[in-house]
Amino acid sequence: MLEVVLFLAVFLGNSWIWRIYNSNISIFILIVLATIYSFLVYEKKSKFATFGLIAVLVPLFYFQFITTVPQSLTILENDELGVKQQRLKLYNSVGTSNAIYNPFSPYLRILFHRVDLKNFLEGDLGTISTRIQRNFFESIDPNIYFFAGHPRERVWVKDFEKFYFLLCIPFFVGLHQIFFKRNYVLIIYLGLSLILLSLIGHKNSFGPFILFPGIVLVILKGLMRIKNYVR
Amino acid sequence: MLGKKISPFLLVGLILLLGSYLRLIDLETIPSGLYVDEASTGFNAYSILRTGKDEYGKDFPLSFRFLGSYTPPLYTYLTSISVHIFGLSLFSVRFVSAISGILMIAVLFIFIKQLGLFKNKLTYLFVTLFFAISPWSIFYSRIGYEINLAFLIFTSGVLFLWLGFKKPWWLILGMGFLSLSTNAYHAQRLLSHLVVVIFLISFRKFFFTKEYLKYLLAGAFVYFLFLIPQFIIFLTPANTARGLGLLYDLTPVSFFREFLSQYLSYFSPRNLFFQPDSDLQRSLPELSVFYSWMVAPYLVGVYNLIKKISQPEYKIIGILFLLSPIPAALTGDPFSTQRALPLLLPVLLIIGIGLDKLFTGKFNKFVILTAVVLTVFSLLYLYRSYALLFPNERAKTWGYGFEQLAEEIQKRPGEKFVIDTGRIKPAYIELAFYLKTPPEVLQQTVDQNIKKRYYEDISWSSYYNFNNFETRDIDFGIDMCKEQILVGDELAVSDKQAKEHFLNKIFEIKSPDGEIVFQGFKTNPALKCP
Repeated sequence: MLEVVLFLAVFLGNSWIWRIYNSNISIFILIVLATIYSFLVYEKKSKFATFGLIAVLVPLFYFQFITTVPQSLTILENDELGVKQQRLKLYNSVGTSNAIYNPFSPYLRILFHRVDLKNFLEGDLGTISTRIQRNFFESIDPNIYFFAGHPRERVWVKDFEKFYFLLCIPFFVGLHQIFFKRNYVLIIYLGLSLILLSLIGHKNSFGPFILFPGIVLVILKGLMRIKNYVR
Repeated sequence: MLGKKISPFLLVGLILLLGSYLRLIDLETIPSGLYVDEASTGFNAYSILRTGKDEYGKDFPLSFRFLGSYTPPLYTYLTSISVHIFGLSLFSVRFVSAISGILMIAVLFIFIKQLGLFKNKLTYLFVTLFFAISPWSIFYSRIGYEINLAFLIFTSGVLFLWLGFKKPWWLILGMGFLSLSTNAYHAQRLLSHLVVVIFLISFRKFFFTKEYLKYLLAGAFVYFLFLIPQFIIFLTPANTARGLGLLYDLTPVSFFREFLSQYLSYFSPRNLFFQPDSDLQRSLPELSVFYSWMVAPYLVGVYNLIKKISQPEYKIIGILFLLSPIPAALTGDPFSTQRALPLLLPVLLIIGIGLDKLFTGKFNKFVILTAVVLTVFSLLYLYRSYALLFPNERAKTWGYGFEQLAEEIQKRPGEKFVIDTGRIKPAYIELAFYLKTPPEVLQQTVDQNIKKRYYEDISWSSYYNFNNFETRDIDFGIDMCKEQILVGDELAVSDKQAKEHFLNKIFEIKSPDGEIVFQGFKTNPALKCP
């Protein structure tokens, strides 16, 4: 009974869910269902919960995708382009007297020009890799969820505090619990969510809401663990 | 497998060589400039060496007064030795730090061997190699102030505490080193005390026994011995201004929220593996403190650390992991890599735990091969960031241009210079360093009352007048009517002002990426004030 009360408290006692409710009722309903199914899957209370979760997650992933302002993984903004041009000049100076530092100038010249490391490091591949990494690391940054990105606020996203900051403590306790129990359905769901967010980025006024059910569950498990520990 | 073919000690030796190379190569050129803290350290070391007094004329200070704040003295005193050997240069100022970084590689290897954490022998080598090529370690090994020395002493202290499990007398050494580290860097003044106390409480059943009691008492005696210099100035601003001044001024609830957000940010993979420190002077372009791929073993490592936390070798890592960011989190700076440097040790060990788990798993050969490939790529990214981008893009931040400005001043011994201090970092100490100004000259220039209230007086003025230059704000009303050279950054004198006041640009110093760092204008009193 206490677990259900805590579940509801965490689930509904945050500004994130009501922000979504006020803006998009379809997403709200899908999140409610996904959160309940996630709970049932974790508790193994219903055989059909896994199917229910999958059925709800598919449209939820879709909504996450279409409500996110698309960010190209390759196209550079004007200031980024300026930096890139400046940097390419530095590569051109490798192995020449203009270079500031090149202890292995002759070897580096051969390496940089024959293997085309300049393009590898500063070309499209480098840009794609950096952007995917940025999206991924932002997705797994706890400060984004509990402190509105503080102390390292993001200028490119309008962040808001998704859960009350003290809930970060049960979150970390619960994270260990979830992985310790190795519930593969939930681990795959979280993994796929992170892949999607890494690819599409974070310019979404609702935040990365596909992670909402998972985070609620993790906090709940953490609270239960703390309760048992205190007892 | 490894032991039969190549001696692991040979491989450790090679790693040590690589680490030494990365820490010593072109030490004078990268960072490309002399940061003001390095200049203060270097000049005061030179001053101590020549006169036994610092720049204010204070005999052998217990805490050095640098630009109105105070710095623990150990690094400056050690640097006076390297200045004695190599002369006053960028190399001699950074030398102690670089050597500390090299010694740290050996200390780390001994520490992980003593902990006996890993099942796979290769993991020991990988972890040592990761430290040798760690951007965090390399960066702070190549700058001329105290952080890296403090980190070496602190880590040695932790190693000796751990060895206390084997032989009780190591405890004395461990406590002594931890106490000594508080004389090297401010953040240690909190961290070292916390580590000693929490370590002894955590392993109280082992240490608080009859056998250990006399060693603990001896350790406590040595511990307090090294704290005496701090006790002497304990209640003065020299001790309190830095320690308390950085704490944010908030109500208890918002303080806790602020602290928690700061503290948590030190464990965030985003900060550890992707986004560099936001302070341009303390970070590398496009490279965080660990390579981004290391996030995988880090997460596996954290999971396994928690799982095995009851075992002593994991418990000590847990203690270091949780305590290391506390001093940094108590300050307002977001993710300060400088104050949180001791966190490098537990995070690296956690990466090692994760790596070892992966090395001993199902696809171990594939994982080892992947780790080798990723390490090679890491070196490439290190080269890109540290050797290519950093010296060019961050030159201005690092005080590039003062050496060239000193040359301009030397070229014109009979002319008077006014260095505008509006936006420029304190120029007097940079120029005193590059011009190798006799310490006695600077000691006579400063307010003679400072040395009487050395540890109490935190006021500082940017006005200096020695050799043939003054450092102060330019006064367009008065300065134009005097025969002199006005020096400022690109914004100090506009083209319009130059025309209006008949100023003649006589030199321009540019950073490697083409930005104007300094420009010098000769005044024309004959035309301006006829």
